[in-house]
Amino acid sequence: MPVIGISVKRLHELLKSDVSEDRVEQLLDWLGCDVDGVAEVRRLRSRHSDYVIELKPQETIPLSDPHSGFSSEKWQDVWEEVGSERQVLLELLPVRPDLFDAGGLARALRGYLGIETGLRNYEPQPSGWRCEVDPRITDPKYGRPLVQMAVIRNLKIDDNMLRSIMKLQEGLHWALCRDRKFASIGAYDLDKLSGPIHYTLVDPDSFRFTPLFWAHREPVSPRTMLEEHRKGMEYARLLEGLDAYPALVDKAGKVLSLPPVINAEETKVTAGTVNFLVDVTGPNEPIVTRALSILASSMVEMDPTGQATLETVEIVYPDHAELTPAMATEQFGVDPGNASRLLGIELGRADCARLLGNMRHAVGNEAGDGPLSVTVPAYRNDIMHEVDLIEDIAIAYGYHNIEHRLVPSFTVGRSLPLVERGRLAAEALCGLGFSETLSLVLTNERWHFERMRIPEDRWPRRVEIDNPAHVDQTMMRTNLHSSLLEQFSRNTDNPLPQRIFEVGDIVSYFGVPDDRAHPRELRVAAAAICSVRTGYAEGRSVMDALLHEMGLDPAKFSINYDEGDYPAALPGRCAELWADAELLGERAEYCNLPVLEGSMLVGRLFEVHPEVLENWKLGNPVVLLELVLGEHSWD
Amino acid sequence: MQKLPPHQYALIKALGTGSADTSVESLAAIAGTDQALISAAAVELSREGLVSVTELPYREVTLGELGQEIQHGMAHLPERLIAEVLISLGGSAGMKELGEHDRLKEHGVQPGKYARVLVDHGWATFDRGTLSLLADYCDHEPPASDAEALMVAIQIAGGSLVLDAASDERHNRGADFLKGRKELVNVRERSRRTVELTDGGRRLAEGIASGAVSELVEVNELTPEMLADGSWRNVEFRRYDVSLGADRVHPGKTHPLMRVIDKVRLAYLELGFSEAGCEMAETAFWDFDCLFQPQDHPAREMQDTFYLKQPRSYELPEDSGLVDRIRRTHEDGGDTGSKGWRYTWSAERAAQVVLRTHMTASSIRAVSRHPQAPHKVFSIGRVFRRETVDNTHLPEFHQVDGIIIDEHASLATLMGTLGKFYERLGIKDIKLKPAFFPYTEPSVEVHIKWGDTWMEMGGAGVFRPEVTQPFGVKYPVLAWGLGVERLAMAYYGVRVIKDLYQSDLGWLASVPLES
Repeated sequence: MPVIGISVKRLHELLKSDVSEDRVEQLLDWLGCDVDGVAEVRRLRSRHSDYVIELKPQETIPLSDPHSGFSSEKWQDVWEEVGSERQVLLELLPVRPDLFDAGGLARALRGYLGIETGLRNYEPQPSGWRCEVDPRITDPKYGRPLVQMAVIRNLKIDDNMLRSIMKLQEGLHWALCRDRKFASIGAYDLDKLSGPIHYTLVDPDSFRFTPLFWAHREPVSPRTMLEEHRKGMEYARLLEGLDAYPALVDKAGKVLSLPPVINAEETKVTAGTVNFLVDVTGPNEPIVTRALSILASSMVEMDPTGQATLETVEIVYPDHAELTPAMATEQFGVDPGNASRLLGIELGRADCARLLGNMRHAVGNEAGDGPLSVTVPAYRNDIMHEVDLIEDIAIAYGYHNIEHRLVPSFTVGRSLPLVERGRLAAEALCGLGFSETLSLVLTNERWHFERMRIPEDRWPRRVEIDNPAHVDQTMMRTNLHSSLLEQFSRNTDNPLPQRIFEVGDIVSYFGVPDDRAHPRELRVAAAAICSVRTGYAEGRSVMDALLHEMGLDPAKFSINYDEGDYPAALPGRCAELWADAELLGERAEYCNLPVLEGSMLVGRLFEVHPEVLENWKLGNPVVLLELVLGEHSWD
Repeated sequence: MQKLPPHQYALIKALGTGSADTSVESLAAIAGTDQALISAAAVELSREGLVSVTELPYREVTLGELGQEIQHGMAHLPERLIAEVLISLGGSAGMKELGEHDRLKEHGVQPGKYARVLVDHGWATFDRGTLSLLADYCDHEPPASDAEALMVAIQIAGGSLVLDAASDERHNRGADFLKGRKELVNVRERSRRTVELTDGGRRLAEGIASGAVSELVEVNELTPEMLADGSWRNVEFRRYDVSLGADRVHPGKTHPLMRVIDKVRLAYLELGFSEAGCEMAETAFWDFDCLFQPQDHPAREMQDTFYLKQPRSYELPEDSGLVDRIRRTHEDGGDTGSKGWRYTWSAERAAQVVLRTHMTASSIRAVSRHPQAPHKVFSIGRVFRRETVDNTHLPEFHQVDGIIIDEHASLATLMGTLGKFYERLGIKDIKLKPAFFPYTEPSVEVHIKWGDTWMEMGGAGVFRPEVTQPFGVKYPVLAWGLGVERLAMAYYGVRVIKDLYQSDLGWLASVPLES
């Protein structure tokens, strides 16, 4: 998750109290935020492009500015220090974009501390501004038929707040808009604009404008911007294949932005901006609406003087008009009885109402019967069900205040027999002087088959990954042979003899009809000896001992060692263990194993072929044995 | 019958021969044994008053390299050369003049170093930088010094001479003089031990001769033969220094991660849970959809989840009522009282097979098999995430997930259970704070205190009604899980997760069972 820094000073101003840093950390923790500590963060502005970066204490200063392209061996040539401040570092919670900035956090904290509770009504008045939507842009092929806008007035900002607004937009893009796919956000200096605003299309090649951070260059075409500008290159894919690009332009022809990519220099927000226009465009109505609700309300909350106001903009579509932001709230019913039961604490109507108020909801029907009527603000994106509000109640109550209890029911524990069998096999093998190793179930054809000398026409049907992340993990193992040899190959520096075993799961289609989709998952125990002198006889002793200890008496189950034909084995030194299917099948863990001519294959024992040893770069002989402990069955 | 330890027996016997030379070397030769053993025996017996040991110091002198060259006429004794030069200069000279003298330079002799020596020999005086031979020696060289006499004597003796109190005084003085001039003569201080029988010792010797005293045989090991013929009664077993160690060995052992897994299994079993599991290759239906994760959720994307090309998809559960309830829950909340995700749910997407991304898939399967209360189930198994591999992440790792279906299940009882569970794992200090997980609400993040630091160790919560209602569960379902490798890495101080799966056998051997 991305980490953002929130100015401690700003939080103090907005909370109207001098809460200590430790207390701030603790409160945020109790609210459910992921706090990464408090740090002194430095601010650096590029000398060549107005781009500002923030650096945490351990971070190194980059030696180039990505926008102007200027770079130098000395960072002082690239950047000037414009200040530093104490910031609380928070991991962004994707479900709470309303807590991505100081304004939103302060709003939540004021509620939590009881300083200001209940629903805040932003009461947006019409600003008189209009946005006219070009009919062509409503075609879904352009990717963003919807636009919503808001005006925020009397928000006096400084450099720090400017940075906060930028970070808030980035945070919303990440958390809510799926990296600008579902919606994208822009902000402009209202006083540089003349209305109405046009939401229209421009030609990729003939249109000219100066994108943000490129004040040092001549105006460029949108196509050039997509090819050369940092943000252009990052988001060009969202405009791929289009014959025209969406643009927001004012009455005088000034460019606001080319959504979803970049704003223009001439209308940008600066530290001197007082009145703002913000927009959200995109294809997804709920997300566009939510993004605007959060951005607009958070910006109003940013103002410590409380003078900032929210105003609506009229969006004029070809067929209808609407005022945005709607700041529409949602109604949910919360039953105090449900809350008490779900949380395990005694809560009356008044308690629930008060706690919901602490979380900035409005609560009605407190005096009456039936569920409380809860009004959820427009900037909350995570309330889908009564239980989401019950969690809010728990947070306001304080998780640390909840008395721990235990469920009174008495139940008797039971382990899975096949898992127990596995540990029994481990015990037996430890007693025989073997030590347990573990390897990944995921493997690849090179190690699992090629190095084991298994020709491609004998590769079994296996579970294969469609989108592997790495060439070493493309399939699931069908036996433990290559796993054990891999362990030896990583331990050639360690003394011999090496005696290792693994108890684990393999996934195999052996004996599964071609038309059946599900493979078998079997638990097996496999052991191997790598030594200056070893061979079949030593392996045989171990296998016999293991069979005996696992209750698989060869006489009782008619287990025979038959000569096997396995390419990984030295010819003449390979045995397959076949048991009578009827007798062995009486044991639950073996009952579904495939039956071939009345027998079940339960194990294998072999000296590893010298070619295989060479493939694994092993310089000493290896004998390997594998025993099937049973098939997993989950019902 | 009196018995003596072997080396003591040998010494008394050798002394009993009446040899004139009773030095340790001689006695060792007579006894046919090591000098060190004879010496040790002498010390032991003298403590018992059976012999007396006399130490006679002596010196062994040999010629150094320069000393040999001088005796062979290939070099000059520096002070002797200086004396010759002084004579040729009229008997005295300044140090500077001497330093520039050709002959001295030719032989590499620095007069400054040897002025003192001439004075010590009694050949010259040294005053204000001028070295002057005594009147007697101005015309002819001084006679041989003690040092020179010694060197000649060594040469005559064949290169090595023994000096003791009885030797020529001149030679002893010469040796004293030449201490520190190793290039001329090497002096080694030695001592010579001689051993004499006391009266008690003589009686022992007589005993040996008459057979009344015999040798005690000392052995290292008791053998079956000794037990068979009873000869163990006649031998002494050498006493061992029990503080010394022997070869390092280690037992065959289970893997540290498996031991942690067993500890976790035990914790659950002790709390009355039954063990369950599910296939590693599961449908998205069970891994995601039944847990109310929308089909367009980022975690379901190709970036984060392994999709299979073989098998590509499985049949959805035969219970079509269930599939329909899941669909409606996703689309508009169904009967759960939720808003739902508001999209069109696809059965085809749900049927795709993935490698399970968490053991919660097993938990929800357990809920579907047994939705009634009370029921407590845990599942431990490997889960798969398509993530970048780094020090703490692998594409596959072990997770455990536990659930409780109970009439009294609540956030409070979840917290209580978490406390008891972690206590079973030996962790007393835990912190529970609000968190977010897609299929639980309320949710809890568990932080544990390990040594001095707090670390995140898993999540927990109450399953959302959207998850449990389609299965007909009437009560809240508590769920919690953790990544087992994380716990194992804390227990064993492992910093790179790969070390658990590509283990150095030496490391595996060294990790103790108890830690």
